[in-house]
Amino acid sequence: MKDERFDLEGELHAGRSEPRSEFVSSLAGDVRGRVRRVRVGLWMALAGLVVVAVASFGGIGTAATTKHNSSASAQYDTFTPKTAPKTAKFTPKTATKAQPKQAAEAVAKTTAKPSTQLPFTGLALWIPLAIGLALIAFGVTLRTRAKRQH
Amino acid sequence: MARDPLADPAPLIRRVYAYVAYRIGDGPDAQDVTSETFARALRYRSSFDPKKGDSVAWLLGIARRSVDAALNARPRDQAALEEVAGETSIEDDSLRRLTLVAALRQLSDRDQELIALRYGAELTAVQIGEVLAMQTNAVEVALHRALARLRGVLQADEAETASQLSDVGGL
Repeated sequence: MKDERFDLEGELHAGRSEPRSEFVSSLAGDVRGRVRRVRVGLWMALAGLVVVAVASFGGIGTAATTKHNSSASAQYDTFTPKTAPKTAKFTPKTATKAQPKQAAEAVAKTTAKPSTQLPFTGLALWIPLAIGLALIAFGVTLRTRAKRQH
Repeated sequence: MARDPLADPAPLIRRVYAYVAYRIGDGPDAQDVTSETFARALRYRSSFDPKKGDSVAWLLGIARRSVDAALNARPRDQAALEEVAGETSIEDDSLRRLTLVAALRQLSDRDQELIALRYGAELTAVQIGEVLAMQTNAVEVALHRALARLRGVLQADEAETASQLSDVGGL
């Protein structure tokens, strides 16, 4: 009985059907291609998001900080010890009283031109924004196409 | 990030196909169901959780549903006809194998399922347990009983053939 059992199991193993090799290679190639397309799409979309996040939030934040600093330094430059009395203390109140025209000009100078360039590199803000949007669009297109093919 | 379950598809295709062929018969239908299984697997790839089991068990869970759909889609009579036609067209198949396939078809769906998973997809009892949501011990017992029933069917067929031959000899 034990031998019979092994024979039966042997027959069952031997009776296992093998697919045609062309079928296997064709289906495997198809599966690999779709997996790769979906993966590329996902990474492109992620890269786009990162670029946009850096450009929008980081870039704008840094630009805002730079603007604030430059405005403060402009105000400070206006009230140097040469022009202001040595004993006078710098407060917005005294500043406006002392030289209102100059202060207004300085502030206007720094606030009139909103910064559209990234700090350090000087790169225009729209370039990384456009690249990011293009990458997101490309990634979304790839994923949509892959889903449609499924 | 979870490991991609379809990173190396060729060996998976062979196992899924062998399982499907055991359930619905070798041929174009088995190829269609295998392709459908992988299409669904690609669609629901994000549902794969390596903690719940390996990629083969996950794929065979999808294959089971595809097989059920294929079996429900085709009429019983047509399936029987195709099966007989397929069997007779394979000239080099041994009589023993044809008898085995015929005996397998006489088993219940559950037994066929177990045998297809064990000997078609070559899953272990643990993996079969994952696919069928059963305890390993229960799988082993069920498999043992399925084999016993298959052996019984084969013996009954042999006895019937022997009596038919003796009748022919008597005439």
